[in-house]
Amino acid sequence: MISSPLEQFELIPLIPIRFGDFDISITHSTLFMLIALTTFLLLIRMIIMNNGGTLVPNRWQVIVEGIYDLSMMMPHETITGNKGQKYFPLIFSLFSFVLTCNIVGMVPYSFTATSHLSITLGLASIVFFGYAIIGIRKHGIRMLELYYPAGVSLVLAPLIVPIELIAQISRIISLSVRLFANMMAGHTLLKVIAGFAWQMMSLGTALFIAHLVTLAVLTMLIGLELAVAFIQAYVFAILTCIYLNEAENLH
Amino acid sequence: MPQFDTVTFLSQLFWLTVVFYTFYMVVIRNFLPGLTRILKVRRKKLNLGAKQGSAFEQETVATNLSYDNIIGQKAGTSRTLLADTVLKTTNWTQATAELTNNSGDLKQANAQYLNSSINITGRKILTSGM
Repeated sequence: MISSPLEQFELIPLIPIRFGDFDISITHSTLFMLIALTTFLLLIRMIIMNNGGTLVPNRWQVIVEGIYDLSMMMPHETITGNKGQKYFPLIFSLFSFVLTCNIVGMVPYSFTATSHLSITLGLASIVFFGYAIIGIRKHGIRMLELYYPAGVSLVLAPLIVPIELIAQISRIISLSVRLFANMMAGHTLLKVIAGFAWQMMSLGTALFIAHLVTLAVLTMLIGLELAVAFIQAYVFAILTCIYLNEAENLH
Repeated sequence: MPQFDTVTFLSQLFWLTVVFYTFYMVVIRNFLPGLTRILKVRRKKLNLGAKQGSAFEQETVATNLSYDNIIGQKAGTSRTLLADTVLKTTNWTQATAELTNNSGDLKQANAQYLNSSINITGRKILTSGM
């Protein structure tokens, strides 16, 4: 039975919850989001509970400390003027959320929460509105300098203001669509190639041997997808840092 | 595409908010302090180790230095002693040789030897002239 490669993104309600017209049923997406985060938290718990961690880290501890160090380094290096420290918990949660959801999605028959536009849009709006609120609280009306930089002549204003406005608004779109599209494209590609291999296998002896090549390609693509899962999480976190830097320092 | 099915947006966003907020709070309250503690303890231990290591290193350098000094001093002493002995021996040998050459039988023997060698060479010169 060959189904559409997009069928894997179908949301199946597990526990239907309805309030009148509002449907907030728990779906596959929620379940796998919870699985990913619970696994991650259990991993950290295992490390912390083990006499407060070992001085020479074991393998699991290296993973968690790697994520910790990376999300400590990103705001520290991107946000100038030593203001990055206070954004570390946010970056850590965003990075580990996206990373664990991406990685859990690589397990066959699981579901990638980040391959849904609504989820990535939600994450991106956390960043975007947070960035706007921080900027306005810190600089007040001077936040508008982002749209009209100081020192630009008034003649250029009708040109620069719309450009900057579009650049600002496209941030939320690029942040969410980049993650969602990468995840979705990767999983669709894997599904297409897996279906291709399956069909070749069932067609005859010569094609049965040829389908091994397809399987090899599929294995390599899984490696690539694992890399993409990490890179997209990293890109999401580093872009968050860059936006927060603008909110803190106004360019 | 199921992603653009707007019916699911509300439930997705609702549960994302709930899950992410809970995750954020749990991470801040319970997990980050523990991780930070591990890393701080390790940094302190490493600093301490580095300090102790440098103390050991200084001690090694000092020991090596004093050892070299002692060796150098003693080598100098033995060199002067050796040179002294060699000088004394040379002097004594010369003095003794002079003394023996200028005294008693050896002096006569020397004189006789010189005389006879002069005679022999003189005769040779004379005979060769013929």
